[in-house]
Amino acid sequence: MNEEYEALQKIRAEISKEEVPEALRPENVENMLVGVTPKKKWYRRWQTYTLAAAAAVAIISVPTFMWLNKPGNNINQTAQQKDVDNAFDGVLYAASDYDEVRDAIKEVKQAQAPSVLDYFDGFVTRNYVDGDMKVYEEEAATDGATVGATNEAASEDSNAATGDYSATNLREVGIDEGDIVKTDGDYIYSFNNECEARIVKADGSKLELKAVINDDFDSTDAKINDMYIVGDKMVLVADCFDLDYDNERSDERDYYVINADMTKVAVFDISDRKDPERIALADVEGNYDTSRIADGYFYLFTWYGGDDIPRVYDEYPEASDILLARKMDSYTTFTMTSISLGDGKEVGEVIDDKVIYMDSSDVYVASDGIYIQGLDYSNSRNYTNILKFAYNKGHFSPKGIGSVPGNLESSFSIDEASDGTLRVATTVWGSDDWVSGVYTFDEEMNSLGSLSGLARGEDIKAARYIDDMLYLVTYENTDPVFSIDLSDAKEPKLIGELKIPGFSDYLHPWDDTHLLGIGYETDPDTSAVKGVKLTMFDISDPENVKEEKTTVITFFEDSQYDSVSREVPGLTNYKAMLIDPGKNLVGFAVNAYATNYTDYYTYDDAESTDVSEEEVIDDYPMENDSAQKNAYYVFSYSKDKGFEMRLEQDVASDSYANNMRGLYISDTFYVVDGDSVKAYDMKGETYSESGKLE
Amino acid sequence: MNDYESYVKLAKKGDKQAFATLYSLVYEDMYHYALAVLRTREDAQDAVSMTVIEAYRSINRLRSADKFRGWIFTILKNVTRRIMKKYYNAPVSMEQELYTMEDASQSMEVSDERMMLLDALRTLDDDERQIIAMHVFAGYNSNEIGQEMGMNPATVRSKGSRALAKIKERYHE
Repeated sequence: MNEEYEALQKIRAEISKEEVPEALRPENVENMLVGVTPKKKWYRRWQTYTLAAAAAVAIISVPTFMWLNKPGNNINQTAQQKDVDNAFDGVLYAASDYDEVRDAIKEVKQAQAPSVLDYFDGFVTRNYVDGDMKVYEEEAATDGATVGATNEAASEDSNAATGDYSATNLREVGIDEGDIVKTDGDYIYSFNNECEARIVKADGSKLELKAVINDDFDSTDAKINDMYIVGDKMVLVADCFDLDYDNERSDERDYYVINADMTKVAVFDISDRKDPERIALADVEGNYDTSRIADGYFYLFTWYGGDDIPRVYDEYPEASDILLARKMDSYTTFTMTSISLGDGKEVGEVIDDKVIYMDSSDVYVASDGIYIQGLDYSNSRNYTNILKFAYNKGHFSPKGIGSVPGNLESSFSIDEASDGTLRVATTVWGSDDWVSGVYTFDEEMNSLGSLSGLARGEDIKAARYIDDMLYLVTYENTDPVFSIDLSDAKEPKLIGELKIPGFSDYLHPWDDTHLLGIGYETDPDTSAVKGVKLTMFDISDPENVKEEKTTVITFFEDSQYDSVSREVPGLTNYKAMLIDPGKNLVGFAVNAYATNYTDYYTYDDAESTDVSEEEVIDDYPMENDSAQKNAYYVFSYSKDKGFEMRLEQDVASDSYANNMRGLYISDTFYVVDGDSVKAYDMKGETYSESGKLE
Repeated sequence: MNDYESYVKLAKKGDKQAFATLYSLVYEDMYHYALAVLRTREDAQDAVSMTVIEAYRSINRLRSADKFRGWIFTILKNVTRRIMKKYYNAPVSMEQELYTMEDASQSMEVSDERMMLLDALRTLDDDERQIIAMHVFAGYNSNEIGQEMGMNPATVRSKGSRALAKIKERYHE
């Protein structure tokens, strides 16, 4: 730790010796700002107490004592503690009371700082709040948490959903995940960075904005992270930053005392699409990690790094729901909270929660269990611990713990088989030996078998389990696709290996005999990315996987530029991919950029006095000698013709295509990009634009 | 430090001197942060001046004066990320870019120590470099870095120590 601290000090000391260029000195700020004026005041709707807020207050008064409803608390509590002990082999145990938790936190804090990155004394003088610092007055908003319908007198035509529409690309079939754009076959739902959610009626080429939800989540600052549509309910998850006020000075409300990071889940009744109404607002202390909807319940995963127990709806969870590690080396917690979306219970009611004192890296939710992955760096070789909880109608029960060497390199590295067997592929990271392996566990997380020593010197780029087969792509200079037979979980077998140039970052089952790979074409000598690569693998004989067709999209002539970059955001966020073999389409966004080193960024301030107040930061025009292609693409596939481009739609604003999503409803394709929606007729060789809403 | 407040108020009204006063508290760290994550001095300078323009232009978005530092670093982080986009596949190695003609023309003395350090920093991947730089120059702890980068703080911590291990390895070569 000390050594690390010294290294950080040295970095600061050495780099700080670099002299700041004259032009950047404070006395030259005025030169930098010639012609620049501050934009109009940023409007944010300030908290007011509307009916919706009052409803939320009512819910807060319903505490979350899940186990109080059961008779015999004490017996139950010990039984619960026993369950935890049995399932987690004593690695984790349920706390008896809050003091035990706080003592454990104190001990960790005293024993060691959790990370060298948490020292900053001596590096930077931070401007801590003195307690008296005033919060800036917001521009008075007229109508707080408003849910505004657009004032069109459109009649609600009830087109029953045909089922012919796309869904978010999910990690696990049947377990819903939130995204920035959703459709239910009649409407397109989306949200933007300005905390606004939109409901757009989509009837072929006819697009009509029905409502804009502009909710402040009863928070000082909220940012929507995820959205779900469940029938006539919309669920929005937001990362919030709440300021609290000193009560003694309640007559001067702008005295700032403490702040808290909160994750809030708002449920809206959208049965009238023109007039959504917030019916619940749940809050959990901590930052948003991810969420799922399964069996009609909402499962929220958050992490919290504060030095007290994170609260759920302002209450501490029951002590027996707090799991402490026998060997605590950090007090970061991972919190799971299940929230009712109906099903005979009040919407927004917390069903169960678990606070786990473990550094978690990812969570995987399958039909049988929730698998929380935690990295363990305490040994010289790192391990990943996997905790399994079963879940049923919102209730969590501990199942078991397993450990695998190395890291899970992709969300698709872990998979639950239909019989409950868990399969995990990892790469062990060492200074010069990278090696991959596959490990299997039974339902209780007892180890079953393993296959190790795969792909020495390479790491896993992509993984996909199809029934009892695992297809694994590793990468160094070429792209081996390994076929691993898992039909006997006790003895995974390597049965095939195909070597091709470039690599796939993402694999998706296409049909019974084909696997789609999306990745990058690389130069085998320099590893430079030369294009985005689509490959259809023939997997009819898993021992002999074949490349059936491949297409590489380059976007630019590399020879004309000094530097070219090509990136597919969907390769790091599978939800941005649209892959629908039934409809024969593959859709994804690409950010491609080419430049010569003579380029530099310039600031165009021609309209700086008259820009829209919600303008995003990414608005610097480039100099001429560069090219960019930030666009959404749709391809179709046939064995004869390979991949054929159906659509190329540039990003609406001058920014990256990361937030573009494609979807279809019967024969119309839609590209949603922030607040803009474009419709395309899917008939014909290429899609033709047929409508838009901006 | 409560004076921050009045400077922010003045800056919001369009007082560039007041803005410069606020900037004077952070500009060195800003430049060195940019230098740590980007490849050339030129890029670092561009990043800071773009940030200054953007920050001033959207000063009305700054809601509490005490957040000035974190706020301007957030803008800087976004600007550097944008610049990093153009680095993909660059055929020239980073050390070369940083210490070539430029140094000769400025007759700048670059110690072996600093060369080695910058060299080591540049063996890190983008995330690792951001994490280290954000901690060292912006003064963020792992939770705050996690928030800035959309990462679990546990991941930040492990990437952070992995990064320091890499630097150490490089240093002792």
